[in-house]
Amino acid sequence: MKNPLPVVLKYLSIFACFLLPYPLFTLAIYLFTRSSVGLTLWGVLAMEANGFLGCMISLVLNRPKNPIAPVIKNITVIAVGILAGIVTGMIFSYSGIISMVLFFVFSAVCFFCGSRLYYNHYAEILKTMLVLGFAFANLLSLLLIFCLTEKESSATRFLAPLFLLVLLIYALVRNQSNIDQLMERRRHKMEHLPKKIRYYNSILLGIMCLVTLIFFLAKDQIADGIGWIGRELIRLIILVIGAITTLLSSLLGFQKAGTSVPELGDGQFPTAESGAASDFPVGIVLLIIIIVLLILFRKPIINKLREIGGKLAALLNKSRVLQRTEIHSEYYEDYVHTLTDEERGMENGKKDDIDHIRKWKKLYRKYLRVHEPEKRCEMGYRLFLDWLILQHIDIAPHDTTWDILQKGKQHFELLDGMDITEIYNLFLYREDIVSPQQIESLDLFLKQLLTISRL
Amino acid sequence: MLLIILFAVFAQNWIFEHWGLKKLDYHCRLSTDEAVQYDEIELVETIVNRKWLPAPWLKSEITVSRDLDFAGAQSVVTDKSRFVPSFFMVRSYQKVERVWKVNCTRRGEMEIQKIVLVSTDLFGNVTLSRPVETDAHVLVLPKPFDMEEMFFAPKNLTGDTVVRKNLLEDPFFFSGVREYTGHESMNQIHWNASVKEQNLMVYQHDSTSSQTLTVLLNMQSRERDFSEVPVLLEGCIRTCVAVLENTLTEQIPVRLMVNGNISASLLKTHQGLVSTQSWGQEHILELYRLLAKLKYGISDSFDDYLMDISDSVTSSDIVIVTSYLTDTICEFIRLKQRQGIRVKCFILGRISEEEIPDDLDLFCLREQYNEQTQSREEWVS
Repeated sequence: MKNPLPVVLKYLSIFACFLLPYPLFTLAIYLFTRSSVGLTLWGVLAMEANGFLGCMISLVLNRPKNPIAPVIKNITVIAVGILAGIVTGMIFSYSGIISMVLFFVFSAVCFFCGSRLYYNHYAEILKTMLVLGFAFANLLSLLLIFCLTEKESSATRFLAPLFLLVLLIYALVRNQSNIDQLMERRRHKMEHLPKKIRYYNSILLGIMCLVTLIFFLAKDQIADGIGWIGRELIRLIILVIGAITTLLSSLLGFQKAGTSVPELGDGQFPTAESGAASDFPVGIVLLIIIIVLLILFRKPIINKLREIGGKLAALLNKSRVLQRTEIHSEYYEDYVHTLTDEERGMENGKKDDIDHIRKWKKLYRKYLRVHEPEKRCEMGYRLFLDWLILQHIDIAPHDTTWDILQKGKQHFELLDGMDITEIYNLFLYREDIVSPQQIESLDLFLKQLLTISRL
Repeated sequence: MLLIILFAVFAQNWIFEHWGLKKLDYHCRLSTDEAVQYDEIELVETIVNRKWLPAPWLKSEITVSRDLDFAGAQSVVTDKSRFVPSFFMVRSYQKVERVWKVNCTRRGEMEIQKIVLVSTDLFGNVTLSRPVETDAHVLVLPKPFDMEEMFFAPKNLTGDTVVRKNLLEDPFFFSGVREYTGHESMNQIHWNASVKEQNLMVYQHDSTSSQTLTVLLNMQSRERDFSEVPVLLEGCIRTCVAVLENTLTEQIPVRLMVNGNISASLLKTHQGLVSTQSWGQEHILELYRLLAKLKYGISDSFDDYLMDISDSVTSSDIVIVTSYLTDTICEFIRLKQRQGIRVKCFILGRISEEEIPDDLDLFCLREQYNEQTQSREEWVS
């Protein structure tokens, strides 16, 4: 069976295309007849029906081996289009002559558009400019109707849902045509595309639309939430500033009777009436202590939180089934499986490495600032050891300095640590004075470490 | 609502632009680094997505040597390369391993030349690409011909041939016993035979010669034209491989000499290929590797080459593999035969019966291979 996807997408696009005149139709109906929303919905149905009728007429007339001449085909399309418009107008003549004319015009236009759109590829039907025009028409309709009625009219009730529907179809068509374009650009054949890729893309698109919809529906709550966070932050800043000011004034003894430091509790701002001069601001001190502790122990706290998060994720992952599938194609075989926790854990190892590198660089900068030769020698050798550990070289506590150097050389042939080891040995065991030349060679060696490992 | 939709689209673009190819590991390798011609090996692509963001459409554009045949109609073949697009969809935290069956259609050094990863977002607003470094390569060794099936001797030589014999007898080689003449030393007396014959008998020695082989390969396709005919040259190489393979069972020391070389720069300096003379599996494998790496082109015309090396070839046997026969080649063979060296010559090109000299040990391709030169390679494979 031939791939039905392009045909389905084509009819979906045509369907969305006939929703495009809806805002203008609604506006026209509202302006001329002040009619209800029901009539506009009938209008949508009429436009869709006439549009698809146009498509069907083109389909019938352009069947293979059809002997009808092109001129006759065109005349038939024009005649049937006008007839369809008249019939539609007649059906809705009960709502007035203007409605009848509007129905006739919109239906006939949709019919002719449908008959022409039939020949187009699905990606060429619902163009970006059309959708932008549709959005503009929507806004215009809303604005005009709102200006005329000065309140929300029932006529505009379906503008937003239909707009969303058009956008959803547009996104789907765009997504699928994107795959086509990517394949056609390099002249790849469609049959070489993995079978489920289109389906998978549609699912991803659906998730994206769902998330957008949730955001749209929960927009008020989100705005409230952001506002609340902002307000609380401002309050906290004011609180901290107030606390610092109070603490400073209490420490420097600037307070006077009647303008004493107010007691702050439960997030209250200091007032002139609150508290006595002798009261110690426990709440403020506690707050400051907490903030200081948070700053000082930020890394262990973050690590702990990460650990808890990891455990929670592991708990959730227990229910997850590791997918293992095999896909066979004409030319290849695919083996697909979900990464296990251990495989994902490898990533954390890399993060740790990055942290260690950062620490090493910090220590190196500190080393450059030290001027005392002895301290510099000690720190330099410490940096060398840390560097070896960073390169995942096992260093045991019983290893001598020469053992350590040999281990390093096994991994890095270019490593020239003879001098630094000798300097360090003489300094440590014979308590030799470290000369500026030796410090210089130490500096050069550490620079060399940086270049070897490209830290 | 419009703002939210615009925000969603821009956020989608931004997310794919920043994280589309991040934490996405791609490796490509070949299952082996050495294979024999017409072997089927595997090309394995591995994609690991180590993030929550899936890759809705991912393509790896693999450029390999054109003689690594895989992916059939999915591949595009140019003069030197084969271009294969490989499409993936990778979910979050997923690993995909794709195994392609690759046929090594030709000998030589094959490699994965280039790989580019291409990804996109859901709407095609963002296209990301990243080159992938790879050093996967395979050395395809030539496949030996079935000599008995492929070649025949148009004129079987009968009668006496000159053999090379040393003047001094080999003291370690006993061919029998004979009567004592009075000139032999005491240690040459065969006491057991003497007792049996009731007469003094001595050991009968004989002269020996160690068998060594030199294979001379002609990388010139035609006598008067230096343009290469790959089918003929590949046939010559495969014949060489078959000859070398035959020496394995008898452990004959063998040397390979070619008027070509494994690098174009050596060809320019007129340096032919001369291997060491040795025997055994390792040596033969090394010769296979040399033959696999041989480039088209010649250091010298084969006639000149034969003149140059004539004195240095001192082995007991010579095998010449060539696409054509010239008077110089015939003269070379005759000269060597007069020196007591056995010379065989395999001719891969077309040759009429009148052109074949009566006094030479020649082997020609059987008729069915000669009739259609172009399809011969396919037939053999």
